Amino acid sequence: MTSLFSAVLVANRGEIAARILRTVQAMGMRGLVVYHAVDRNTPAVRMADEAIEIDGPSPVAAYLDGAQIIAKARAAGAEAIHPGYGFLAENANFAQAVAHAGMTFVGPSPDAIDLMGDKVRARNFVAERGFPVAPSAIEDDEPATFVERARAVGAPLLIKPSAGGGGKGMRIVRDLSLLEEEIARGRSEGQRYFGDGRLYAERYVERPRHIEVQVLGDAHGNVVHLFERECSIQRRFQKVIEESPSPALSPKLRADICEAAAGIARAVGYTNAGTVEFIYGNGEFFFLEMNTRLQVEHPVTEEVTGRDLVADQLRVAAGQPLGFNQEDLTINGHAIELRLYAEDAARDFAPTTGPVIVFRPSPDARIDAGVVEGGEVTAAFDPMIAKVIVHGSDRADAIARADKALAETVLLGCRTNSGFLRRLLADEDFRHGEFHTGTIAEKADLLPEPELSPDLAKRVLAAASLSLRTTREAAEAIPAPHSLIGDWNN
Amino acid sequence: MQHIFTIDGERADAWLSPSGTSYALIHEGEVTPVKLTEQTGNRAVLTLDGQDTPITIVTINDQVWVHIDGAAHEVVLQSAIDFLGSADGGASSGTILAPMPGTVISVQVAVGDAVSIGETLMIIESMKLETAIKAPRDGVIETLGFAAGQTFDQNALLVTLEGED
Repeated sequence: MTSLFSAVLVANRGEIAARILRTVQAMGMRGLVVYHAVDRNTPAVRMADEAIEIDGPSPVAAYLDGAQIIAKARAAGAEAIHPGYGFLAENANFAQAVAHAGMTFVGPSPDAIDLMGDKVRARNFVAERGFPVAPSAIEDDEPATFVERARAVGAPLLIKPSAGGGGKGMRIVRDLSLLEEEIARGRSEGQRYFGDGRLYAERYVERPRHIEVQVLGDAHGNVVHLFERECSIQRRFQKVIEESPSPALSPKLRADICEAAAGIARAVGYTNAGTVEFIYGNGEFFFLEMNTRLQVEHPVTEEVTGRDLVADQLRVAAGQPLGFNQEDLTINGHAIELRLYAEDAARDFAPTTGPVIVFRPSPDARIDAGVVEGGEVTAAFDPMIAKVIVHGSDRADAIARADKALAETVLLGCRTNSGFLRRLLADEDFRHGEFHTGTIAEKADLLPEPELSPDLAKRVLAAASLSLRTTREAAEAIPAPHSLIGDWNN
Repeated sequence: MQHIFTIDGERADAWLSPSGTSYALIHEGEVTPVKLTEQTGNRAVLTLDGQDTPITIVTINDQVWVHIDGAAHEVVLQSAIDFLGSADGGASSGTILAPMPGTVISVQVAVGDAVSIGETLMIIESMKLETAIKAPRDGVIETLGFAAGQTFDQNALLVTLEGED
């Protein structure tokens, strides 16, 4: 097979940059990556055929500097740019600029990014074409009456920035007397994160489940769905555990929600990989938003469908047809992804930092990691260290494999949420598939690390004392009491 | 001599005594023969009471990280004085430490301002989330550690209040 592009540049960092490079290189293309100096010691920089340093006022700013990245990509001979997720992935201007610079943007058209990136326009577009959306009030419709109209939708309400995503700036209002205060806070966050303070409010579905559908489209008019992922296990609106298929859906609901997603993608004329997110509760689903990029949790879809989504993205971006139909896709077994975060669940998920002194991923799982031994977890970026992905014959088997993979994965130097993830996996409600996006918030008893058993505490203390010079030297310096040594009198 | 450790932040006391070719651990009044056999790649086998446990272990100064029974634990050898020094403090004392690293978004008060319990003193942002830092009690602002726009590390001193604790 001749390669699609001679070289592909990844405009991203961390685990996703490494994951994309893996496929680029496996397909026989040169894999390039840009990196800020703080990321010099990361997997993507180590594995890239060429790693190109970029700079900026902050590390994040460097990865957001589209003009600099395009200039360096061109100079390095890249024929395509893959944006990963976050940063420039859903920036229509960047996609346009990549094309203007004579390279291929690995993603949908700028028009599709633009339409779906504006949550208000996206929602209207979807509603007008007959797909289900939740009752709402949109500030832009008539800014002067926004508060009144939001109040009229009724509590509980969810307030979101129009330009938002990833849970940033979202607020649940149960007490309408706090509505104006929460609107002000949401506006300030929207302004800061997205440079856009416009908001919308919608009915908050109590005990909602987050179910999303992977779609793929090519430039020849083919659109397929690759079934759903359930991502209801979240903390602070950020996903923690994702799985496919969802334990909540009957075959009929699965067909309905997946068909709706494919229908929305067709209506948009969508090309490349995308995800249509729905909120599901009481047997009903509503369109939430469409993410016009590869998602963090795409591996669970890869595991159950057997497809390499990055390879499909690259083929479609090069103009090739998908090469398979909806009927060719089936769900095989069950896949779970756990996000290993540098955070302390017991302290309200406060981020932790530290050196990665030892990192030994479990050999029995797919682990997409953003760190290497000798690297460092800093506060400069998102606290996700790695994704632990397992595939089992059924859900119970996948849960067992997930627990084993977490237990086998050794990361020393920085506190992680591994113990918390294992407690979630062991939770009876989780095992029965009975949960919703507020489940973690309700299960406060799962947050703190349980007290060590006396036996384990003793072994931990023994290991620590024996490995520390101070404690060993102290032992040598002071004679043992008679009682400790049987042959003292000899 | 008795050593004070913390395991994942919880205090535990223990000490070693020479015993045969290795040591005995004295903890909670029990004496247990212990031995550590180091292997490659930070791996080791801990033998306690004749029972072997495979572990992964690293030390940095007085800090030890150990992966044992499928989980990592951070053990820190504390000096007694350090431990007592941090044992008071806490939010009700009027000393507010940063719960996590982040950036100051805005500061609502100035040094010398009288504040009431629950009043918002500053808004900080850590990992994409805004948090209001509120007064833990009534008092007068004594120091403000940071101005709007500045970044801080975990446990940095954000605000102190004057007056009795």
